Parts: sequence; C-alpha cells; structure tokens
Amino acid sequence: MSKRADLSLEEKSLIEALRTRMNVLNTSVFLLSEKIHSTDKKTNAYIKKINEELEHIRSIITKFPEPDREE
Amino acid sequence: MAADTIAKVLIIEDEPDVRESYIDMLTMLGYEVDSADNGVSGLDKLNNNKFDIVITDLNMPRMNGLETLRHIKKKDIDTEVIVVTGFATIENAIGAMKQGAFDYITKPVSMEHVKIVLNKCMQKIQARRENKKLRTLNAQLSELNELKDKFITITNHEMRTPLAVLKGYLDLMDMELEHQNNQDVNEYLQIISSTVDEMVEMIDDMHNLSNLHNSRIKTKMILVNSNELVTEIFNEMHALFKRRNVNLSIKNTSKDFFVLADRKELKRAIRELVQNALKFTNSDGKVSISVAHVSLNKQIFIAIADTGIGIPIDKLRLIFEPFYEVQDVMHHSTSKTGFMGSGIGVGLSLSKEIVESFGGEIVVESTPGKGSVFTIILPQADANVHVQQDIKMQSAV
Repeated sequence: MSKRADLSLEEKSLIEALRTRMNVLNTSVFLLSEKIHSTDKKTNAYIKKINEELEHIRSIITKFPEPDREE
Repeated sequence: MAADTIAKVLIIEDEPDVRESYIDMLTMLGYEVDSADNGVSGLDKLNNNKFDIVITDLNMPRMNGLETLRHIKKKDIDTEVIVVTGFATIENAIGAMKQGAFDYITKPVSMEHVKIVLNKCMQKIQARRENKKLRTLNAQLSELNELKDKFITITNHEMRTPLAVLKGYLDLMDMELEHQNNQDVNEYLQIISSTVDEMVEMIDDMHNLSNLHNSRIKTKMILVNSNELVTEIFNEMHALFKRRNVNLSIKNTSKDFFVLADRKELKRAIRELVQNALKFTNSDGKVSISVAHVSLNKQIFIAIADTGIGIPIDKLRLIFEPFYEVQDVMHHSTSKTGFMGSGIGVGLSLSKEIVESFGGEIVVESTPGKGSVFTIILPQADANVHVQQDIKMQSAV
C-alpha cells in the first residue's frame, strides 16, 4: 500500500477508541485474574482463553498505525 | 497562454531564414521555442529535453521529415508532430498522418493557419494532461477504497468473532464465579462485559457509517411531509420514553410543510437526535420534538429539545465527530437508551451527514445542567413545483 492512501478521520477515531477499550479490557482481565486467585481449572482455562482472544484482537488492531500525537 | 499551459515547441527546419521566421512567429504566439537545422540534431535535442510539439519540415537533407517523425513517435508517442511541406500533395500529408503526425502545414506558412493548428494541438495536449491527472486521481481513489474495504473487512468481520468468543468465555466465567459473590470480581466482570459490548457496538456503528456512504448513491429524494414524519417518530418512540419515565411531547405546524429528502434517511437522522436526547435526560425529565416553518427563509425547523445534562461549551464543536466520547468510558451503561448509556458512537455524526446531504444543517444550543436543543434546518420544498417535476419525469419515462 502506498503512503498516499490513508484512513479517514472516522476510521482513525474508531481504531483509537478500540485501542482505549483494549487497554481497559487488558487491565480489567489482569485485575480479575489477580482477584480470583483461582485454583479451579475451569476458571483458569476461561481466563487463558479470554487472554488469547484479547491477544488476537490486539494483533488485528496493531495492523493499523497509531495516529500522530499532537505535542 | 497561461503559465501552467506554456508548451515547448521544437522547430526542425534546414533553411535558416525560414527557421528564424518560425521562431519569431511562435515566440510571438507565446510558445517556448527551440530549433534544430536537421532531423538528426532535432532528435538529439529531443533526447535531452522534453518538448510538447515538434514542427518539422518534410524535405530536409540527412534525415527527412517522415523519418524524423518515425523516430520521435518511437521515442515518445505523446510528443505531437506537425509537419511542414513545400510539396502540398495529399500523399505527403497522408503519409505523415499515418505515421502519427497531428496535422500538416503547407508552405508558404500563414500565421493564421499555424495559430489554428497549434491551438487544436494544444487542446489535444491539455485533454491528454487532464486525462492523465484523472487517471492518477482515480488510481489514488481506488487505492483509498481498497484500504477502506480492508479496514471494514478487518473491523467488521475479523474482530466480531474474537469478541463473540471472548464474551462467551466471560459469560461462562461469570456463571462459574457467581457463587463467590465477591464485589470486586463482579465489578471487573461488569466492566469487561460492558467494554466488549461497546466494542461490538462501535464496529456496528462503523459498518452503519460505511453503509450510509455506500447507499448515498441510492438516495431516493421525495417530498417528505415534516408533520407526518415527526408524528411517526413520536408514535414509534413514545413507549421507550415512557419506560424511562421521560416525558416526550410533540408540536406540529398547523399547516403541512414539505422538505425534499430521502424519507428513510431523514427519519433516521431525527431518530438519532431524539434517542440522543433520551440518553442524556434524567428520569422525570422532558424531551420535545417540534416543527416550525420560517416563511422568510423558506425553511423548516425540526427541533429536539431536552432538559438533560447539557453539553459543555468547549465540547459543542466535537460532538458531531464520529466516535467522539462525551462521557467517562468507565462510568456509563451500554444501553443505547439508558441514562448516559452508550457514550460512544456515530449517531450525531450520521445525523449531521444525512441532513447536510439534503442541503440542510444541524444547529445545537446547550446549557450544562439545563439541557440541549438540536435543530435540523432544511430548505422548504415547494410541493406543487416538485410534484409537477415528478409527473414530468414519470411521463418522460
């Protein structure tokens, strides 16, 4: 893809909003897993699966460049 | 001749006096002129410089005009060649034209004739330049569309599945941890759940926005009765307001007025504003939809007023941006109609885009803590004129 083509403002805004949500999700899942300290196999498996899906989503979002930040 | 359209002309002519007279003539006509005294030196100049037009004599020593023409066209098909012949025979002219000459001029050369031929030639060059520009623009747009398609595919299709899977595991875990009754755990589960819902909703909104852009070409413009449309919206949304204990009222104009719009899209734009008013109005609050006619400017005003939380003045210019967030991410529900629910999205952005596409605008006034008024202003359509046009169009079909 050439450098000429770029995402529109609304698309960049969506990606930025999704990134913010991903941060919320990552933090919340981490805090949740810390809080439950579960020895239950099932719960641990669910946490693992959730983290895998989060990683999958993160890899999709990172396909798009981060917007330039204003100083 | 405008500065950006000055053409470079190369004159190839073996007779010095004639060559000089061509140079004077073309310089006077505003062209940038260079010259060569035979075909071979002419080709040398063409190898080192870009010329738009070559005017060449046909009858020259070393390399004649036809051969020079062949070489020029072989090197750059876009260089236009005008041949000059002292032997005004049809055969010579046809031979030159067959090999790609733009036109021919007969000796003795008249300034008027040269002017006409060069003007025609310049028109062709300009058209080709414009065409090239359009082709480049088209390629850029295709590239942009490709990127947009890729974006939509990724966000709309690829992200839905992991989000759905994540939500599934979250529900399972919720069931598993239900008996623990831990307040912190419940709070984290709630945040994760609502954040995932939001992400799905954002992707839906983006898809809607994309669909709106794509459907723009399918817009069906008809006369829309503003009273009828607003009443329809009131009837459809009334129950929703009742459930939230927010009073919804309507005020129509005494006489029916019309606007020219796609009914479905205009309805969607108004609904988004009404839904937005509901979202930001507390229980026991009030929302009103009113239609007004401003005869002076021939405009229809559709105002949605609420007694909600209002919008800070510094945020007013931002609320029509897609995915703009007025609220704190962590502190609202995901319901589209719940108080402060679903704080992100493209609702207002959609409304603005729709209304503007019908030649209208949305004006917003707001006082934090007291409420907001969103007013759609549309040009009034003359029912009789447009109906007549419609009949004409139908009869033409």
